[in-house]
Amino acid sequence: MKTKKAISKFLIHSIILLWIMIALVPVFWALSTALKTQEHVMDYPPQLIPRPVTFENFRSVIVDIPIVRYLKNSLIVALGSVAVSLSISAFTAYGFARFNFPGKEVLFFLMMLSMMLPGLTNLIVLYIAASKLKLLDTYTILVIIYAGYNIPFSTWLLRGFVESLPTELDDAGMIDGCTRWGVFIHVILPLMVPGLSAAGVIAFIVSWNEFIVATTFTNTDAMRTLQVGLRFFQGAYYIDWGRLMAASIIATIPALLFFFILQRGLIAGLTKGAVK
Amino acid sequence: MDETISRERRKIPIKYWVSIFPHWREYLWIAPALLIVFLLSIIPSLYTISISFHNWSLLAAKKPFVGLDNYIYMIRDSGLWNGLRLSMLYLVMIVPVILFLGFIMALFLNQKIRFRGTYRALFLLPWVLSMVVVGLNLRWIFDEQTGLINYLLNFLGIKSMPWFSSSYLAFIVLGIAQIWRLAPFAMVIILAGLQSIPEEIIDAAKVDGAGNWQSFWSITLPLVKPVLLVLIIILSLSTFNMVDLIFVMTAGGPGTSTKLVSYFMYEQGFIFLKFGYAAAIAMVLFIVNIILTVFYIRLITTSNQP
Repeated sequence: MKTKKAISKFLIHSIILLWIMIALVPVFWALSTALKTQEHVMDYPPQLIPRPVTFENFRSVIVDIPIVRYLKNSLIVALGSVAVSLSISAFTAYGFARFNFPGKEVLFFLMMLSMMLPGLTNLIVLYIAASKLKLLDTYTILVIIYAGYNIPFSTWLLRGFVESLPTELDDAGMIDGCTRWGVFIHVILPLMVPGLSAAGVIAFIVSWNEFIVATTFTNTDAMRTLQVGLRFFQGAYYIDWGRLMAASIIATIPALLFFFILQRGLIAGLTKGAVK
Repeated sequence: MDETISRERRKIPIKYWVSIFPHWREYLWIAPALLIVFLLSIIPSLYTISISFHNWSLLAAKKPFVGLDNYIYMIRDSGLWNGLRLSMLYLVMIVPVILFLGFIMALFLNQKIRFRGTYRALFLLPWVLSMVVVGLNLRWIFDEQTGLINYLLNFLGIKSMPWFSSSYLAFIVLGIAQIWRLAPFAMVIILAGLQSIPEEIIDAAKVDGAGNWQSFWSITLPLVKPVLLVLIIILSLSTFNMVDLIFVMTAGGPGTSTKLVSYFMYEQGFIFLKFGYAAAIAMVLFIVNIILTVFYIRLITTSNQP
């Protein structure tokens, strides 16, 4: 009985591991390509493990093309939109969670609707508005649009979070002489940190990875984000796969770091959208 | 005299507003977020309708009203019908595969085993990659000359496949990219659905003599059905609005074989700069989106009782 159980456990583990390995082949291949020397990238049959290993592709990507500038642009835009969307959705979530007022659920429904309605169909009007307001090719327009993407989702996530905190906390704060705003800032906000970090990671990954808005609303090389830079890095006739894969790995690392540090909260946030 | 009247006028409205608007403080909390939602989502949606009735090109000074011309042109344009057909085909291709793979992975991870959290994180990794990175990675392993996939095929004695120059194969590779990225996402969602099923129910069924298979069909599956429906809607929404992956992988080609309706709209608007026409196509997409979204919100707000 015991050995049978051990065997089935072993089988489950090996199937899962095999599956993960197959699923990660493209990632492994990208890494392997990025670590090859120029002449070995196109080898046939291909080398699975690069020999010799070289960091030349990473070095040349960082030195020769403006990837550092792209990185900086992406960071500014992503962190900016995280800051804007978290600071607004925190008190909005508090408002929705703690107060009753006419039309509350209708307004909340409108927010959810705008969360689900993807940006694609709105792109035309936003583009016209941005060009009228001279906001094309600026950080501001990207931060605003990404904040618009993220605020409804963060508010939704945080509303549930605030609702799970007992209202006695608020009452106690008010008895101690705090205003509503004081209660929010001093009592509730510190307790919201786990929810805020989950919402923050999701917002960061969404903004960091976004491509269509970034490529449509910027047109000079100086303003390109990393995703857009990657896209334009391919030449018209010849693709330098070694350097391209090195650049794509660099573009993935920040999102990956946040993901692994905060994956529990992130998964809780993701599943909230589908499971009640 | 005049002054007192104007003062009165000013006073009364404020009092009046406060009296019918006793909740203004509460509204103040949610006002900034609502303002952003209105400015970035609701007003643009409405304004798109107006643009779709004009011959609107960004560079032209005049943007004449043309009535239904854009819509009439659109209905006669084979690009629209091709795009809609491809989007539907794409959905029919990816949804069953994603749900099937996601479900099997979730069943494995729902066992009581060690390293479950680590496995789940590793599975979810492709979801963290951006669409651009996904597209580039898959373009490289499916490369027709030196790609890994063709090498493996040759190794097994199969001829190299023209992955990006054949219309069917390009469409399939585009599907594989989305499956690769979204099957793990489906797994996480289904797993959460499975974990929300109380163990007692399944234990009770086992006590009543139900086998593993039987309890799966008659208990597990019905209980996660709402989750599967939600997933189908999320997948449909992302397919009907997918531009980035096409942009990076095929640019709609070869020919028009991967020009889904979303890409067709983007191309008319931002490559050919025909904003009026693109707005008309956007209205079609918009209606599809609204229907899907209303279903979605219904599902997640009323699925309290399974």
